[in-house]
Amino acid sequence: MKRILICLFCFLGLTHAALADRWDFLPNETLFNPLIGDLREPQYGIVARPDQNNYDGAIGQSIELIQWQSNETTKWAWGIEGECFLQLTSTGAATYPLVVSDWYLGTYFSEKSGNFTNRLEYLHVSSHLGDSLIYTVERIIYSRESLRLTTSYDFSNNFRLYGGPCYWTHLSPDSSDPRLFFHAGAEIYTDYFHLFAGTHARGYLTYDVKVLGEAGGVVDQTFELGLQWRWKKDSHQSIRMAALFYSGNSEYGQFYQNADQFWGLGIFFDP
Amino acid sequence: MNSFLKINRLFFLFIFWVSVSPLWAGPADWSFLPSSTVFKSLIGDPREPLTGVIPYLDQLRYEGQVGGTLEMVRYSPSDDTQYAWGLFASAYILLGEDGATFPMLDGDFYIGTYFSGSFGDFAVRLEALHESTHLGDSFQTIQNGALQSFQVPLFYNQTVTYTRENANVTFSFQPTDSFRLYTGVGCWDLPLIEGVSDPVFASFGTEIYSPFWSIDNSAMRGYLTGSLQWKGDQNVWDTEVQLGLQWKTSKSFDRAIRMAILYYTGDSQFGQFYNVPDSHWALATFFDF
Repeated sequence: MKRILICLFCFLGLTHAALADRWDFLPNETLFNPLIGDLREPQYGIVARPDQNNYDGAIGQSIELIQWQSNETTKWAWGIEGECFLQLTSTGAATYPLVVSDWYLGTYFSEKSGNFTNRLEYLHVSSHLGDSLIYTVERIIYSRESLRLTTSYDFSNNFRLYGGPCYWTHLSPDSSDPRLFFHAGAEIYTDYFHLFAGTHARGYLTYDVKVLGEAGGVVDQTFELGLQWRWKKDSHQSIRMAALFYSGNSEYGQFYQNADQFWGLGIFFDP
Repeated sequence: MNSFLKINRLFFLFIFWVSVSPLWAGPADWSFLPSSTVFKSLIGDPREPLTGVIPYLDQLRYEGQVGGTLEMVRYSPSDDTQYAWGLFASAYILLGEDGATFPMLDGDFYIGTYFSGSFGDFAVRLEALHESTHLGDSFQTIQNGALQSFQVPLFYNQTVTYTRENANVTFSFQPTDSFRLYTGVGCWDLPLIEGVSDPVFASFGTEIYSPFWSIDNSAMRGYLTGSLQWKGDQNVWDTEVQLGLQWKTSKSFDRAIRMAILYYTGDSQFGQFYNVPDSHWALATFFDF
């Protein structure tokens, strides 16, 4: 009964929101543009690690439920996000056992004023050891919740900077490590050029960094150099192909204390 | 060469053809990465790539699913037909409940590609689909200092190799906005499945909608779906019925939120328990994006 009431409350809350003026229900685009350089942003993608025989998969997206305009220059949005990140290894012909899977579920509010956009997220993540390691690696019960504030500034269509503080509100396994951590990055784009049949593409370079207090202090860095392909310049759907380099500790919760460094080739689908 | 590799090659050839065709096509006929799909999602199918949360009402279990379909390219000639090629991926998780913790029981992952077409009230979708299933880590235990599992993952069980590559086709008929019928048939890739006597599966389903009513600038309607899946390897009917509300920005938009009472009976949809009977009631919320 409690679950039903909670669901009805959310549903009726949305109904009330839709009745207000200046509301946009289930908009096509998110107010806060996805951080394409962050491998843990909700997205669809596959990254092959040629030097490790491992493959990373990402399945998920942000679902913007409502947007509203509070005045002439400021818009707000509320949405939810769900994603799954999994790592497979290759042990032979057509066999790809699961190493680990991380599952995210969260909600966010975002705000846009001019070139500034802000996003406040509350994220739950749980990490699960793959069944291929069930007899060889002892799992940890990894479950975390965090609050994340990200401020982004678009200097132009070709350059964006973002950053902000984050805080672990729940840690399992518990630890005395600092709970505050930081996330920042940059995106640089070339101008668009025609590709074929009226489609457009542009090159991009991203840098993403997370500074965490866990495991004695960790700096997770990702560099991505790639090509973003769109039908029209203002389309929100795109496909990206990129070469990337990651250095830091593993982003998978089961191995968060282990160092991880790899080159990868990725293809990403931004819905 | 086994049949799966043959199917693979045919699909790669077709993908190549679709990929290079735009090079000489007129831009008016083709669109890339459209925001909707030619073949509308089967919202009553428990394994359609959608995003949702499904808490069971009669058991301490929760299902979660994330997924979506990306239509890569669409060809729209001047007549009343459309053709499309796309990709889809989805992940499904089954959780138990133990106090404030939710141990993982199973995770399934789907990835595939499809070709689809629409011809007036009729639509068709041909899919090539890979499914993998993974036992949840909550089954791990330590006995006498050694790591054990309460259940053996199918990955280790060499007598039954659970590999679910398949090709399937679904035909849909929607004469009005309020009524849709569909049926499909598929085949597991036989050489990769050991001990499976009948590789064929089939599906039947319907979607029935009430008229829309408006909520300010948005539109809502009731719906009832029924989905029947027959799986030859287990000789079982999996049945799901949903009764719910669908809420959209406007009548013509594909994006929607749905809330539904759901009843499922048959064998489990989760691969690690594919031969275990499963019946449950649930209150589901779906996000059709």
